[in-house]
Amino acid sequence: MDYSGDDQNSAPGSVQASKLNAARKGPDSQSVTKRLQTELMTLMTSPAPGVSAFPSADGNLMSWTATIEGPDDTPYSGLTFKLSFAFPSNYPYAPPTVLFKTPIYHPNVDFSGRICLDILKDKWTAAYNIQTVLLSLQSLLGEPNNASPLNGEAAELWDKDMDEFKKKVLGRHRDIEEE
Amino acid sequence: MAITTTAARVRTRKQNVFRSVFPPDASQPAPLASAFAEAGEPIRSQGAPLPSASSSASSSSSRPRRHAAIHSAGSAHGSASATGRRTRGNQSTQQSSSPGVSDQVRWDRAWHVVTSRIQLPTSVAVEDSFGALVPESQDLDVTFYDSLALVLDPAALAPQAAHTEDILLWHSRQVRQHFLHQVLPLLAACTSSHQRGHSQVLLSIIGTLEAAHRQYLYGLMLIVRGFRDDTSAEAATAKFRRDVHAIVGNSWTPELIAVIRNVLHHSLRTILGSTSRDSGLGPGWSREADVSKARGELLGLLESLHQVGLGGDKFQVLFAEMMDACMLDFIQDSYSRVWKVSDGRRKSRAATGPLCLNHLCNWIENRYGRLAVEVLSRLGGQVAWSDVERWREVATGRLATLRMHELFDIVLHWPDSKGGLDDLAASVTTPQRRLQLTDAFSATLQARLLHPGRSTLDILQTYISMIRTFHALDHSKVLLDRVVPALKLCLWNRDDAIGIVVTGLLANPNTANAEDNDGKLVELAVILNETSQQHQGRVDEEDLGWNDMSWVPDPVDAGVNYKRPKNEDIIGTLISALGLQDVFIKEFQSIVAERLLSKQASFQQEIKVLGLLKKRFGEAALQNCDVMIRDIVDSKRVDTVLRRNLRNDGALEANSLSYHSKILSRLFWPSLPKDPFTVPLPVAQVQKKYEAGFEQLKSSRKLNWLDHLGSATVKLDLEDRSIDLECKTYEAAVIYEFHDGGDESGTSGPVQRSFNELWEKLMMDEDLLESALKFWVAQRVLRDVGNKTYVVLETLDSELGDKDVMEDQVATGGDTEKEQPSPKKPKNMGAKEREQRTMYWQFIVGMLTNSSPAMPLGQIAMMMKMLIADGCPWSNEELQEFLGEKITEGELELVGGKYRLVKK
Repeated sequence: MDYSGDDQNSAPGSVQASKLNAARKGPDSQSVTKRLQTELMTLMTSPAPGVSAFPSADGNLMSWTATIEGPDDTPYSGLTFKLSFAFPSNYPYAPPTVLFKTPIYHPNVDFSGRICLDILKDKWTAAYNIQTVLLSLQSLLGEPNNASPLNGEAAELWDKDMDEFKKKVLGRHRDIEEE
Repeated sequence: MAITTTAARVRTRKQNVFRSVFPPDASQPAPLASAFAEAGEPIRSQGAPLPSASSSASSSSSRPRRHAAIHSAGSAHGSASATGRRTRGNQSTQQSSSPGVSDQVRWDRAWHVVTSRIQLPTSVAVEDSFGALVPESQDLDVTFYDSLALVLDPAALAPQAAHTEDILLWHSRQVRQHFLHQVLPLLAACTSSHQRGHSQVLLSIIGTLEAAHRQYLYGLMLIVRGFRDDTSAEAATAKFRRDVHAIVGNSWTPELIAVIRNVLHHSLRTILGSTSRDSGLGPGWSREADVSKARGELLGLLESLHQVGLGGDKFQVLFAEMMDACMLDFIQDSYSRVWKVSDGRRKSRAATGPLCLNHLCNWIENRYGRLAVEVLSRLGGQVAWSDVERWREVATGRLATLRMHELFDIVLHWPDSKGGLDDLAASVTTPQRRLQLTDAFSATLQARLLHPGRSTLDILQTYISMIRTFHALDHSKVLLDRVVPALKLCLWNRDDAIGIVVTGLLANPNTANAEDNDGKLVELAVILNETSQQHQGRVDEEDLGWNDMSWVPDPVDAGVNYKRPKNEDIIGTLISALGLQDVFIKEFQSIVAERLLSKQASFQQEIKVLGLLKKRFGEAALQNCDVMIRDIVDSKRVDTVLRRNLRNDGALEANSLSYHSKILSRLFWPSLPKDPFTVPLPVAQVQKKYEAGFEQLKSSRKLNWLDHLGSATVKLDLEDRSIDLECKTYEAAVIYEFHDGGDESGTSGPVQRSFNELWEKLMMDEDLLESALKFWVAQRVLRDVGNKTYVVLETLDSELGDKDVMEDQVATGGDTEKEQPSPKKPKNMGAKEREQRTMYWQFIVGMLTNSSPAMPLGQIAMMMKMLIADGCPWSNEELQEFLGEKITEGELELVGGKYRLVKK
């Protein structure tokens, strides 16, 4: 079976290739698809602990859902967070749009889930991938960048009153269970 | 007295006027008769006209509503004029002899005489009654012609008559009325009588119409006799005929159409011969006598139809439809699945094309066209030669369509179906038809071949036939390329396709018909041997085809990168359809490896195939295979040398077992599975010596034994028999374990070993051990005494003693033998499969964690098929099984038909 994957681009009648292509437009959509498919395979064959990601349920490769488990020794320990990834059509030359779907109390995340992280903005390079983004976000949970907070109160509490911070984190956290 | 007489006359006149305006209704013969009597004898009594007038009035009110409306309007006018005349009559009662009045009276009388003469019979029970025309009597004629002259030319003969009418108009009106009220119901009665045959119904209809015609024309004829010049008479007749035809032509009822359709259908089928198909393509489809009889009948029928006015446009359209349907039927009946090739006699004539097509063209020209010409000439139409040519084109197109739909069967029956293909090749000439052909074929292919129910072998065989068929149809291969993608896709999804092709290539072509070649593509080997010889001469000449007189330009619908294929090249096409070359080579390698390791003595076929593949893929790609074959040849030599050396050294005793080996260069062979086990001691000793010898011979190389590959010849001496057979090495090792015990415990009975004992001793893979034990049970050397314990079956008698048990075991032994591959399968594919399963599990976990917490089976399967780059080879059932395992492992749960991860 290992040849059919290679044939997908060359074979005109390949059902899978055409199915995937039909979902998207644009000149480069096939390379994006291929890249995302490769990333998915990497994620599946060598998963990193505490993070996982998968394309959304409708089979559209351009939008994914990811899960991060709160690292131990942080206020987020034991909690899981869902994120949404939306990939631009020129991915990986532009960063994906990443949002926290689970409400989170964090200095660098605002209340609508937007994240302030340099590698998702100007520091993005094509060398990053979904897994690295997820791992960066996981470490961001333990080490917020309080210099440029989106949530000033959280940044303040992080520095001053860790117990209160933890309380706020637990108060804000809610497991979203979409059907 | 005079006054009353005048009054009576006036009343009569009034009535006459009324009657002349309103043709007497057919349902009331009485007033007509009285009117005639009145006309003949002007005044008999005063009271006489009154009842008739009242009865006519009452009858007009009893008419159908529809008519009543028209007539009430008319009667208003009639009565007005009558009253007007009456007042005038009252004013000038004395001037009864004035010229105006007498002219009018004369005219009225004449009108009466004429109309009563040409009056249509009013009650018609059967069609025959139409035939009885009023006998012409001499005395009537004189008055009639006088009256007719007066009626026809009132201006000259009765210039003063103020109120005159056109007798022709009156006649056509009465005809219309009569047709509507008398003939149509009769026709309806004819068509609705089902007990008679359709042709009889039609005949009676025609009879009725003919009789009516006669009747109508008789009246006309009488009138026309009064015309003085012929031209106006002819004009009047022609007009009347047209009128009547228009009336009849508009009286088509669905029943009538059905009847005519049916009659036409029968006679057309007989004449055009589409009923008989057993006579095949002989010159006569139906017996000539029948045909000419039917033709005569049909033409007679048409003539009478035309005469009675049923031969108009509607009939022609109907006829055209019938002819069209007939052509379809004929093509369907005569040529469906008839794929005869032109036989020898015909071949002698130059350029005989495809049989069916020629036959069809002949048919169109000689029968179809002829009939159409005959029919249309009867109906006053014309058939141009270009029409016949168009029919031929239509017929050719239809034959092509038929063949297109049969193409798949043609492919399956190749080469017996060559005739059908010839038809196709000759008729499919335009790009549109080519497209139609490929579309139709693709659809059939999808429906009939490319589904899971078909074995890969079937598909491949069909593919080979397809290559041949399409090559015969179209040397350019464009058509084939268009239908093949779906097939290729299907073959890519069949894991065993390459294997089948390779074994087919490697099969022994001389045993092409032998039974043991079931499930192999032996024809490939045959083709290989044929083409390898042909190939040589053809290569050069193709390059510059200056002298190639059969050269044709590339087909218009060829693709951009189209390259003219040199020849049929079945093997080449097949291999290129199977995917990438390295995959093919890998498969080829592993199959060749298997064959090389078998006990086969020579490998001519393998070398030949290898040569062929080298030509195709290049030397470098097949280097490994080269080395493999050389290994085998070398190891034979090395083996001889080693054994000689060993014997010389005295290392091998004369009585020890003979030991041969095949030495494989590990790097170049496909990775062979290692299933080590403890080989029996004597063998191990020889192995050691052999190894040492080899290392002496080739100092830099080391031997690694693949114990389970290879074969052993075993001789078993049992109490009542001795068995000599060849088996696998591991099987030999197992039976060897039963050998020792016999010596120790001599009389204690047959040796007994349990599964676990054997397993510990041999350190053999469990599956392997089990299959070996089964093998020996099936060979009736061992017996399973239950509890996983096996006993040597020293005598067959002991088996007979408890025959039941034994039979039972043999039966189960047989069963398990068949199942043998299944327990081995997971083991063999072990590592790879396990890896795959882990990966898929990751997928499912990822999916259920992120995409959606609960998913039904179908969606999971769909996601996996779409998202796994290499595709997911699992069927829904396999996936379900896998998920089921995970449920039992407690990783998953199934809630409401959806799978979800168990929360921890």
